[in-house]
Amino acid sequence: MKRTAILLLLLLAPLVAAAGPADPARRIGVLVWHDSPNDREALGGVRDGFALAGLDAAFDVFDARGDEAAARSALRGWDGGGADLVYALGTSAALLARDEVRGRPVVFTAVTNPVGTGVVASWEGSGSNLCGNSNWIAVEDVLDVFRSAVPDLARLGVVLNQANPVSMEEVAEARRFFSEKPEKRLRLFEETLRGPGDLAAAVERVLARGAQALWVPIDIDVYSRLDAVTAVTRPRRIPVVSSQASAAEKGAIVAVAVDYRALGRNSVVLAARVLRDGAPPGTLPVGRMLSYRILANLGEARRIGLALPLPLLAAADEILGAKEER
Amino acid sequence: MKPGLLAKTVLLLLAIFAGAAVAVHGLFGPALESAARAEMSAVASAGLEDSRALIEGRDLCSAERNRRQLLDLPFELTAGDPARTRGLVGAWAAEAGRTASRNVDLLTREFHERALAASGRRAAEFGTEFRHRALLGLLLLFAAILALHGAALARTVLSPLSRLLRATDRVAAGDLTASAGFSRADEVGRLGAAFDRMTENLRASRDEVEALNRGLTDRVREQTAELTARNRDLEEANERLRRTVDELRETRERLVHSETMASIGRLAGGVAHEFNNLLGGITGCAESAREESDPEAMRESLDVILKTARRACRITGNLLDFSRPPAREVRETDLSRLVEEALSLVGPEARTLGVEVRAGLPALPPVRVDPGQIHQVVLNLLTNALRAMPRGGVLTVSVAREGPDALVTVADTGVGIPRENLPHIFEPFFTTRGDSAEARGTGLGLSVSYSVVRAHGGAIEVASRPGEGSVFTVRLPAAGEGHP
Repeated sequence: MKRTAILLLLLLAPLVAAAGPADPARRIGVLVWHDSPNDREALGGVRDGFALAGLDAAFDVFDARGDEAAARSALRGWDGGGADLVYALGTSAALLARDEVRGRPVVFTAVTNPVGTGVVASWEGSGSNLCGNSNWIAVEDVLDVFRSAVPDLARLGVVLNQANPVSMEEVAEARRFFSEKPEKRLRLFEETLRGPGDLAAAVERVLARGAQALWVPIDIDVYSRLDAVTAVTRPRRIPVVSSQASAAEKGAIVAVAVDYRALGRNSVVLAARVLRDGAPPGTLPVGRMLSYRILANLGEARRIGLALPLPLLAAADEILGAKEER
Repeated sequence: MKPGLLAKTVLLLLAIFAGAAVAVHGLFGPALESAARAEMSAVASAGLEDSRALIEGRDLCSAERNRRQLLDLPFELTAGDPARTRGLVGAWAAEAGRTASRNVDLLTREFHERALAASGRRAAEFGTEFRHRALLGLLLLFAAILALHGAALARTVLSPLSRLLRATDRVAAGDLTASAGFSRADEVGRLGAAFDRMTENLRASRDEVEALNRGLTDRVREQTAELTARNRDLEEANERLRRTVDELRETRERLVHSETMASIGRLAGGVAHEFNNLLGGITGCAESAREESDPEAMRESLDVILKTARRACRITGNLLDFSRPPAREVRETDLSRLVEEALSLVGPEARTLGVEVRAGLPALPPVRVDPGQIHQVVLNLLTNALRAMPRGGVLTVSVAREGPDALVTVADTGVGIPRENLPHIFEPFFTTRGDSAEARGTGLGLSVSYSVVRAHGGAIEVASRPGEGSVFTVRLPAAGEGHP
């Protein structure tokens, strides 16, 4: 397949040259660590961005399905000449690309905290062949949204998955925030997952400690099994809040997250600077979004006997009703 | 005809309820409508306020949101190409518009439901409040009705009843001239009239009772005097009677004493007479013997003397037995067999005298007696019976049980016993037979028998009619003396 594309490009090159100055098609290797809604949206944004920029690109998308060896193998293939630029979607993919790709520029996107997780050394630039953007939202903003949904929130519970660096970093950031700002008067009740089947029991444990609401962070092992969470929280009328957008459609009363499609699209700005302008990736600051989306689920709130407050409804970007539940 | 008290009360209540209904319709109805209108207005205002706040809030947030999203648009990718830039912004605006439209639909539905819920809650609260107020109003109305009815009741009923009560107290104190003092056509008036008729009847009855009482008092006084006189007579008669009784008791004691002395006299006379005869015989034979030279004749005289002396000894022994009965030997005894043995002893004599013997001796449970003594008693009775029938007759002997007693009956058809002799036949030496010693016996048989039977705790009864015969019945306790 790749050979055919290259052959076609060689054949069509004289025609393109005759038609005027045009960039050659770029070979873009895309690593997806596992199939997640965030990565799918981000990939769509990347494609939109290349189209918007008028960059001709051929995408070689590899879904590793969580297989580290396969992912490293693909990365090494691209680094060995199989691609002009490597795209890494998500933190895990970016960490692997950081390790395996040396001779090609790497653009990452949908990495929540690239500095905290070690993808790059600084928000100002990697100093290496990596650049990209982040879905980072200030923890204070996230907690403000949670509090606008649950006005008297003072005890927030969260289930920790030590296998997931993203959610661990999210919770660590929140922990730091509360320690620095005790005046916020919000206590975090953390409960660690003891295994794949421990989710409901972990939720039981954290609620037994007196949590008024449960925070579902960006952890696919948690938000993809939200049914197990709501089976515990709904009978007790405990609201679920999340920093994962898709959670709002599956049982959270409110979610706050960036628009991953826009995030993916914006990452192409960095890719274009590298590919078209020849900018060194290590000099480009990590991109961040000014905007984020607030999703409010009226149906879920009614289901647990809660009327979402007016300030939240005023600030919500997207309102979900009962019919939106899937 | 004037309306009664009940009719008046009903009319009064109807008037009050009619007035209350008019008041409710005229005053409470508009007030209720006004309150409901105010409630609905408040709900609508609250909904309106929420809507206004939401619109204002969304406007403010939209501005900031739009600003940030516009700044997030990758204009760098479309630089130098206005058409692409317009397309980029247009696509963003179109998506924002679609999202806003969906949001408006959902928020509209949400606020509609919230308004419905709020109006429902308020309506429920208003309903509860209305029920409470209506209940309070009804209670006040009821209290007012009670007050009015109480006042009317006091005027029409309680005041006359109070006067009637005072009049009743006067009647109870004995003043039958008391009157109700009011005249009306309703039930209370009829009650007063009935009271007046009652006091009038009571007056008449009292006069009659007083008249009867006076007559009755006079009769009681007369009868009391008569009874007092009779009582005095009775006391005097009683005193006479008491004196008579005392005299009779003294007479009886004298008679008993006399009878006792007579018995002792008869006993002593009997003994003296008996021994006198014996001594006479002995003296005669002794004189004959002294004069007799023939030894044979002398021996005959001496035999007579010896025989007579032995008879005297026997009499003395019987007399001692009578005064001090020998010690008894009590044991279980077949009474029928005992009587049968006694009969066998007198059988030859009976045949000699031409006496028919009839015996009823059934098999009976044994009795506890001294068989030797009782045998002697029965033999004595049989002997007496035969001696009462020198020219033949019928001797009937039977044994029977009567309750706790065993009975031995000896009946003859002989000469019988004169009535005047019956009280003395058990006395020693009392006899009605001839003067010969053979005929008279010792004169102690019945007295010894009497003594033996009494010593057994029993009794001897006799029934006799001169010329017809006698019946002697010996009654013995079957279980022995001292046993139940």
